[in-house]
Amino acid sequence: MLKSLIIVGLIMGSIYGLIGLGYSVIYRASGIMNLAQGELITLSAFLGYTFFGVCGLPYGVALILTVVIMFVLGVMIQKGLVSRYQKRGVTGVYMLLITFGLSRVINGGEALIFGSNAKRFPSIFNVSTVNIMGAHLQPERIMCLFLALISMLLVHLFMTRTKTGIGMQACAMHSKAAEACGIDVVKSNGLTWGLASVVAAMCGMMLGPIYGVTLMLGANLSQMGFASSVAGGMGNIYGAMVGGIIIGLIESLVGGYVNSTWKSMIAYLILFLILAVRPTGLFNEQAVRDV
Amino acid sequence: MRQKRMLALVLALAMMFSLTACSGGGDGETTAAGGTEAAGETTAAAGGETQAAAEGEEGSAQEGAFNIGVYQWMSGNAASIGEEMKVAFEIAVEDMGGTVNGEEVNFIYYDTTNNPETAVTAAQYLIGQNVDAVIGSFQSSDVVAALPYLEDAGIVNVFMGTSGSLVTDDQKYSVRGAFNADYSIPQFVATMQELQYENVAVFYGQDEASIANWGAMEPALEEAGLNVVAVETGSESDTDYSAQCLKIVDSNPDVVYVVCSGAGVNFVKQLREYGYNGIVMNKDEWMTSHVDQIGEANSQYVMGCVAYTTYKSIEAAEEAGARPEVITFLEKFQEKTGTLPTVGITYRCYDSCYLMLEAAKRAGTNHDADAIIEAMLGINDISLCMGPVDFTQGDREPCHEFMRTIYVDEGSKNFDSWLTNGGYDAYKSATGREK
Amino acid sequence: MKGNMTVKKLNRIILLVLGVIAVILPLLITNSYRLYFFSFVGIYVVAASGLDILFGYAGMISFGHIAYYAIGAYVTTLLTSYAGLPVMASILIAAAVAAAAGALVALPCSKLKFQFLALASIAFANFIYQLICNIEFLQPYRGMKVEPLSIFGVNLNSDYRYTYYFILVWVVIALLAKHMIVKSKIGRAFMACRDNTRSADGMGINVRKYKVMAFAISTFYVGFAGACAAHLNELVVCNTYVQANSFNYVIMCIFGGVNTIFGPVIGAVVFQFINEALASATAWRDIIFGGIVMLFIAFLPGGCMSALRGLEEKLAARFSLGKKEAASKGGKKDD
Repeated sequence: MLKSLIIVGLIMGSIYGLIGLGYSVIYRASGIMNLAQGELITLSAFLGYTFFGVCGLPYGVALILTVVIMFVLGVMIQKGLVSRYQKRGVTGVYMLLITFGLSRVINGGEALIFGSNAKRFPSIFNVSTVNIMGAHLQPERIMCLFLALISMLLVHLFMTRTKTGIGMQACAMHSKAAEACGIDVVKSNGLTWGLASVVAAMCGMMLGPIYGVTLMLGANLSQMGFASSVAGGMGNIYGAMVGGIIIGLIESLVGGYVNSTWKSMIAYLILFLILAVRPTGLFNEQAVRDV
Repeated sequence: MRQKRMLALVLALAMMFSLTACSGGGDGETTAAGGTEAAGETTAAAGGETQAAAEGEEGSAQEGAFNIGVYQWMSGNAASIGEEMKVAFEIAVEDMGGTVNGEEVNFIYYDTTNNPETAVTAAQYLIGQNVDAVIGSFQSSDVVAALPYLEDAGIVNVFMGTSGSLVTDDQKYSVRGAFNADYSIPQFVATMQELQYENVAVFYGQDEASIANWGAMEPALEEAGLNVVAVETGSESDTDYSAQCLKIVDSNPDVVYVVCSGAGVNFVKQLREYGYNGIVMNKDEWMTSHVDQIGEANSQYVMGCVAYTTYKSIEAAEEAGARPEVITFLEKFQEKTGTLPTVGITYRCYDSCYLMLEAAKRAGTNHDADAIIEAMLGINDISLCMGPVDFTQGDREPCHEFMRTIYVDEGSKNFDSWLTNGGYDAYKSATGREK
Repeated sequence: MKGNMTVKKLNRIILLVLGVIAVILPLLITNSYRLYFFSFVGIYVVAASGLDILFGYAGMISFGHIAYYAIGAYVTTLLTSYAGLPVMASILIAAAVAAAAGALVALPCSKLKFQFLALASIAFANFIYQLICNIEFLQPYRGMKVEPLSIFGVNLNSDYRYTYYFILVWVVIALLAKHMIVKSKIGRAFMACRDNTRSADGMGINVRKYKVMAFAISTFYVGFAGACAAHLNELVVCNTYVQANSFNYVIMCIFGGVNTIFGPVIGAVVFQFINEALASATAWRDIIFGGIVMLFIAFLPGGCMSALRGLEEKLAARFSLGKKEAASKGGKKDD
């Protein structure tokens, strides 16, 4: 059983890591903690369901459509909402509350448009489970692992090797200085949210087949995703993944050997302790200390 | 800049005005002085005046109408349930002829947002609105919280929760309008014995109704001499049940009994993935919404012992041998909304509302709680979605008969006919199981 | 100087108006639900005031204060039901326990920057919620019965007018205490820490000590509120203490106006009325509520207090203008 638990933990961890990636990207590139990320995931799952399940388009097409739409949505949110608030001088806590309000609005919108009943996201693969060392897993879950790894790599390369990516980081560090260097801050900020939304879109498309499309899809998982990105070091791309795997393993092992209802409790306790003792996370990310 | 200030001022003033408007309890049509007999009262609902006429807003009691308060979770995850409930109520009122005792029926809703403490607030609100009757939540924890206040205030209420713990001896004005889930336990156990099962694995969820149900099932299994080989627990919102599934599958049970909020859909799915392909006995109805969520393949062989269940089409309902009352209700529902109900709770709503209206009609008055409850407890001659209604058995429960269902071949079927038509053998050969 | 006078005058006016209304409310309103409603408003005023001390005056954010609300509620439940303590004493002890918990959390966490502090508070709140759900003895899902609110053996829940006055007394005490704290050396230290921790440190203020103190005071308030609520509802259920409900207190402060005495009061009232208005909104509830939050932050980040201040200033300006003209014309003089 230990082997299966470890494998399950790794897979769950990669799911958390992929979600945490979205949080880290926005934080790294704009310093904002986005509480609406979970709802973006749910929204993507609903969109994917509409294209793949209702319209019957092939999965690849549905994926591309969802990603594009979410990208545009992300940019629109940034341009139409976030930047307007930032112009008014809304920062810090208030910005957090804006993202909270946004998450409520998106959730409410989904309830109105799609209804609150769960929706069927058809399987992507023909095989319903794959047996890996005793752990029976849906192939979609394994795909999640690969997708998480690939996304992580791609995002990291994008942020560190491409001009746009480096520009994004520069804007986060000091937008005036970045502007002085000729970086288009406005465009860059929009891209940040667009990127995070793309990550959310991929999460949603993956999670839909695994859990079914429900209103609480994002909310349930995003808490752990958030925790992963913090555990690894907020803003650190690889950290989100590592943090996710650690949390996934802890949850899985605690569930298997201690008590299945204690999983979340222990995971949150560990998250709290990490923040209390080593808030910079595993990878010693960004200055976090206040006097 | 100026505009921004103006807007801000307007917003604030609007807030202030709405405040004073809402709280204006002392103006307008108040009843005669001495409204609060508070001095001598010992109950929480000491004398109320109808603010409704003064407020005149939606969600308030109307004069000259049969005011029925409704408290239930109606938003977020339960938004669809709320919508279907409203349609079910509409149908019930129409079935009654549109008016009861010459008065229109007015529903006053209060959303409990999945929080029993809000149910307390809801009860207080409805009591303050001087409603004539209350229909209560499908969530048992809401009912547990709100019921004492309604009893104290002497308001007749029909509740829709199915937990066995809801009906107690000291109640005077409360009855159930749905089925008691604990009543299904003997039938489940009998089925297990009928199929000659010995080893049972159990999964129960972390929520009020499930914990209560497991509390009643455990001794029943013991008494029947069945072997409980695994007991696992989890929560509806869990993301992963691998540990629980592994242990259950390892224990090699003949049948798995599942009782969890939301029917434990994700658990059932993962249980199937981990290789258990036998019968799953589920305390809840296996609704089309559940099939939607985890697919046909995973829903196969889920067995239930229920008062009613959902169907994909009216033809499917007829084929599965659903009660004529259910079919009529489904037809009316389809006429109004174009689809069929996706949750079994909708049937509970129709039944509860109809019972309330019927009792009032028999009592000849909409405003005398004692008369209405007396009439209610005498009903034993009508049939609703739940089947024949019989309140005269002295247990404040209307429903004493369940039907056994099994979800197979993409639809809910009648278990008994499935057995007699060789379905069980087909199941054994399809899954390769001995039992 | 004119601005200062305006603020003081505004505060006095509000104090007078609110005070009079608050005292005679049960005479105006006899609907017992409405009294119950306002009793709860009072409880939320205390909780929001506590959060305001932390957020508005000491500059630290917490999205996890529901944990202390829960601690207050459950501790008082256990003390009154199992240790047989009188309700009033139990509530105070429960609040003290919540304060101790707050101090414990603040010790390591107060040094974090706001996003991480927010996250730590969320994590702690989630942990406490899960803990409650896992302790079977507390009957988290069905709910545990709590002794009714009572003082000197008199059951206050029997008539919500008694409850209302009881809570009103405590609201007044809480607001007075907050006012005294804010005006004192401690309050100034809080504000110094809020505005610039480095310079505060440089001036010799023990930043750490004051931050922990602010946390403890705020959690005392919230724990007190939670304990009162438990006795008022005569029920504690785990659903009330989900982490997401912490946002309610922050929202109340924002609606009303941080950093003021009456802001949380107005905020709590507004919030509760909005909640009630949305009770029949079913599926629209979330959208409307989220929309209101966003609109408020966009147009009125200072809350209703700032709008009132703006209004007062405008009136004062007109008033003084009229005075000048009157004086120059030698007309009537107002005092």
